[in-house]
Amino acid sequence: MNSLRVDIILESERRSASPVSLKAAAKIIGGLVLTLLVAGVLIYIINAQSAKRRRADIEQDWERTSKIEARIRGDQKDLDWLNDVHAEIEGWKQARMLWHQHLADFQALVPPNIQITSFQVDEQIPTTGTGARLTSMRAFTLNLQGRAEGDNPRGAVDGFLTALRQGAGFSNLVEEAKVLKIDTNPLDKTNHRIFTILVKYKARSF
Amino acid sequence: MIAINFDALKGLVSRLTPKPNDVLGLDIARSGIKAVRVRRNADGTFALVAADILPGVTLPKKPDDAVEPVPALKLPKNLLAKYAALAVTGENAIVKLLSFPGRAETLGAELDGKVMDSMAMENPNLFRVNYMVLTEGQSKTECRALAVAVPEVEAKSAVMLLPSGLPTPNTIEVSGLAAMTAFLQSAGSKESDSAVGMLEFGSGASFFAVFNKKVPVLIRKFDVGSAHILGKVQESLGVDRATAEGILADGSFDISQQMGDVMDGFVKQIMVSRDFVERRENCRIARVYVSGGATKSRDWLTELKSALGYDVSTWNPFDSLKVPEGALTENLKGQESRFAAAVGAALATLAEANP
Repeated sequence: MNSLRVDIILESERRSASPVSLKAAAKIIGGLVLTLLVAGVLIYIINAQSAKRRRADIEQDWERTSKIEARIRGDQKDLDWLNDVHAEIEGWKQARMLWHQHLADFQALVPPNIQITSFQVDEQIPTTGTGARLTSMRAFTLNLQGRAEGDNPRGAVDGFLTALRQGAGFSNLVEEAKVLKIDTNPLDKTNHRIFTILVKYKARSF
Repeated sequence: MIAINFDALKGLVSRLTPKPNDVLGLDIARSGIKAVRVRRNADGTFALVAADILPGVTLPKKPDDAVEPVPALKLPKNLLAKYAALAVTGENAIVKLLSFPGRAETLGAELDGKVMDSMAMENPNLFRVNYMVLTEGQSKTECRALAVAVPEVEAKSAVMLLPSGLPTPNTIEVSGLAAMTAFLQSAGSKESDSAVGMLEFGSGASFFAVFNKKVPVLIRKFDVGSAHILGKVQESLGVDRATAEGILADGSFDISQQMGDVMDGFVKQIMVSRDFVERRENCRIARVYVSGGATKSRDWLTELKSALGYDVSTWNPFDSLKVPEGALTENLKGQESRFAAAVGAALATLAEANP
């Protein structure tokens, strides 16, 4: 285009027509970066404060929970001890003989021509296994002494021995019953016999 | 160490900077500020968006005048373009079409000094000086330059009209030359085979140019304008300015004597220039085109035609633009000639931004 324009404007008199000049844009970007930095630092400080508060709360919780834990641990210990006691009692219960019942059965078993002069029960605690498998048992032995009368006192003793092995309330408990001694009484002119019988009961585990 | 090429960086920024596509041309004069908003269309044509004549402003014009505060220009919304191309009357400006032996490429920086010497300024520090080398019509042995020196105070004051916001000042030029740019885009564009004269009759100063096959071969500035005629009418008839303007426009009084007093010396100088150019360029001026506020005066046109002995025609600067309906309001119709400088300033800015 033919133009006879001779421009005399100074560069300093020209302003940018852009809504945002480069200078202003640089200032805005600079300001924005600064704002972001400040905001970042503020967020960091706020987060740090928040974390500090959270940590204090957690420590407080920890302290409170530790006390509860200590109490629970104490209770657990008590419970374990009680459980042990309970187990032990259960063991004793399992291993014990119902002597009142057994004595009643024994009374019914003794024939009229036999008189018991001594009834002595001994208890033993044998063990089986080793280490962790070590188990304790409870075993009883009954030492009986008595006197048999009548026409056939020896037969009476034999019958009594059989009753001890097979009689009601004995057959399931007795492991072995044997006559240790049977003899006449030198001081006695009769045909009576004195005898000693050993009854071994089955061992019972705790 | 990293070397940064700032020139390349500046070039990149310049490429990224948006180019003016919407420009407000402002012809700043005491008779009124002629404002024309022109937009570049996608197809490369230019369209008028709006035009108006705003209240005039008197800028300090003498080189040694003091810089006074100038109130900011209040523009209506329809004239708010992004960029403004300012044209000042340049009553105390120096405008010269200079010829130097040798080509511009070979003269180089020497040309600056030659131009400064040729401007004959008493105090160069009080002026803003610039020039353009006219490439078209340049011979191998001669360099032709159009040089302008405008008082610093006038240019500085013109910028003060747009102190902030939009539009932003983009260029400042002399209104007479801006009118010539508009002429070359409208009536002048049809005169590619002939020599024509072009007269921009301003308020305080007038510019006369001769274009031979569209190439400027003479450009002269005269310190005569319609303000001088109005002053003479006011003085002789004892009327105020507004009445004098009415008399000049409607021809209700015979003011041929007053007009002759003002125009005689001016016309004589034009005739001398005409003879000089016709001899030097070996051409014959076919007609003279006129523009400016005085063109609405039938008396003035008759007087000029009679004195010059040429066919004198007015021309419409908006001919080079697409003018949508409503862009030019009814009250401005018939005054189109007054907008020549404003249109030229806007077109030159748009054309430079989109070569």
